[in-house]
Amino acid sequence: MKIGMMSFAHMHAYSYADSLKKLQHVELVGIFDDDVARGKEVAKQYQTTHYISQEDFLALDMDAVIICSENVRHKEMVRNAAKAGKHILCEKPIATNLEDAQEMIDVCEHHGVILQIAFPVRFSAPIIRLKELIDRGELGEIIAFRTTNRGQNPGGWFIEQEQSGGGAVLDHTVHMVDIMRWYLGREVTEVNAIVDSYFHGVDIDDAGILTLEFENGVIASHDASWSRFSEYPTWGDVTVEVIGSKQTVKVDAFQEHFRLFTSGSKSLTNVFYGNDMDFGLIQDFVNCIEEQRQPSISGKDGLKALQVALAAYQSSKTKTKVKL
Amino acid sequence: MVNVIYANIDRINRLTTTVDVAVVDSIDHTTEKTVLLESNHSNIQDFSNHTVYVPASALQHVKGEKVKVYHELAQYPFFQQARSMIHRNDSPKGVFRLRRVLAEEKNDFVIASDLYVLSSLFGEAEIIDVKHSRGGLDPQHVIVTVKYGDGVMAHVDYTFTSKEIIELEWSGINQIIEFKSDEMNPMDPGHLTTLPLQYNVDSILETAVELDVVAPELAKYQEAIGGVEA
Repeated sequence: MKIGMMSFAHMHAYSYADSLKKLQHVELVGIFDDDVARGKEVAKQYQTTHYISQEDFLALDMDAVIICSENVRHKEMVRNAAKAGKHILCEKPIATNLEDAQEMIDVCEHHGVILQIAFPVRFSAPIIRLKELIDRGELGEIIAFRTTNRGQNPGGWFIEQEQSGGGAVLDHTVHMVDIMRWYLGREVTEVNAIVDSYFHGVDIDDAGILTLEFENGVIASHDASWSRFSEYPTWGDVTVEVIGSKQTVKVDAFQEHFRLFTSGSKSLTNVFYGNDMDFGLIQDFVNCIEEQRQPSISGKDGLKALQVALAAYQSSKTKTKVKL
Repeated sequence: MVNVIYANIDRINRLTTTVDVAVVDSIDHTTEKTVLLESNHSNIQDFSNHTVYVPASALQHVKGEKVKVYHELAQYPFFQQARSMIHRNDSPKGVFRLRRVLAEEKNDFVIASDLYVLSSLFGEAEIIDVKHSRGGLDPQHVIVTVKYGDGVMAHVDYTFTSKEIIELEWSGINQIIEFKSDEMNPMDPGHLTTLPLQYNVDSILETAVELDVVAPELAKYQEAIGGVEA
């Protein structure tokens, strides 16, 4: 299978490229990046060809592309790739507004190509295990969720509103909303949120707390932030606690670690040794194309998660609960 | 006159209590200045001529005039230390999260008491929003969202079930505090002690406030939570 990559603006591109290289039957046939210096560098790193022209890149004989551009460019790249008949894995969030997200879904449907959204948390071993327990009824009826996704400020275009479409709340809400939707099989109907900027002296938001209600009355709290500083033992966290009528189960996707103590300003580092969820995502995307099946994480999944994140901004701005 | 302290006796740390105190079933014939009575939230009596200390979580059962109220959250050493650390910043900014799993029936007074304590830490709450889980499903779960005036947002989550857990997280500017009572239990198996969820009598005596003083603010939080269920 031949796969190309469109832009290395998002840092996850490196992990995805590493994952592609691990798959023996997959060839990374080229990289489009209009940041010429970055494109040349990564092409050299991954021993492939750099393309400055999107048109030339999409003319390549390849099955699929992985898009890791700035958020605001997702639509443009998805549209072009779909028209070229390439299956697509698009980094989250799917877009910066719902209209773009819907257009991306429609254009992929029209051209008969797969649009999968990159929510790698779905491929974390403990997250999958909890899904199995829920599906087997071992938690009973779900009553509430409690989730977190807190990390470091990625800087660069992430903190430029016109490039990213939003800060920490957009960046770190969509993952966990996707997980809650996946676990529950229900949609969010109400969003109440406080969004602010505390930690980095930037105009864009770096902290938010969301209280959600799902269509079946399940309630949830979510903490999204870029509150972790570089000396913190780990990049951040991804946690979900599910309060069920039979039992409550909590999962920490990065809990599989040992503690490394060294001298210096960062004396403690958590060294993660759990499964590589990015690799799981890429493997699933490749399998999806090979098996010609529907993607496990659809464009609609991306849109629904985006809808909640955008509603959080609206709720905070208007100081009201937003109904979806 | 006797200081009659209603408390969850399992939570009292005898080692760090320096005042003379006796655990009694009744204050008849007591010669102690301070006594502890087990509080099961429904047995609180009106002891005229004595000062009665009651946890705010049991206020619905209080009778009498000489009542002083204490807040259990504010008694825990971990909380006192965390509060001190957060206050090292002149104007703390950040995200505060408190997780409480309680071994009791749904009790809005616990939530009101915690909100009272948090307002002493972060100032007046500008916004309080409360979300209750569906009725008729156990365990009951409550999510409280609070915005404090000067750059603090908070989530406080409660599950009313059959065990006690407290988790506290503070994400401040270059300052992160994490406390989980299960993880910080100094014994394994953990059920052999109620540590670290213990506090001492000295702290209760020092921090308790007359009911008249705290009642209006607690009533405000009660109203925000949704009132007392019949």
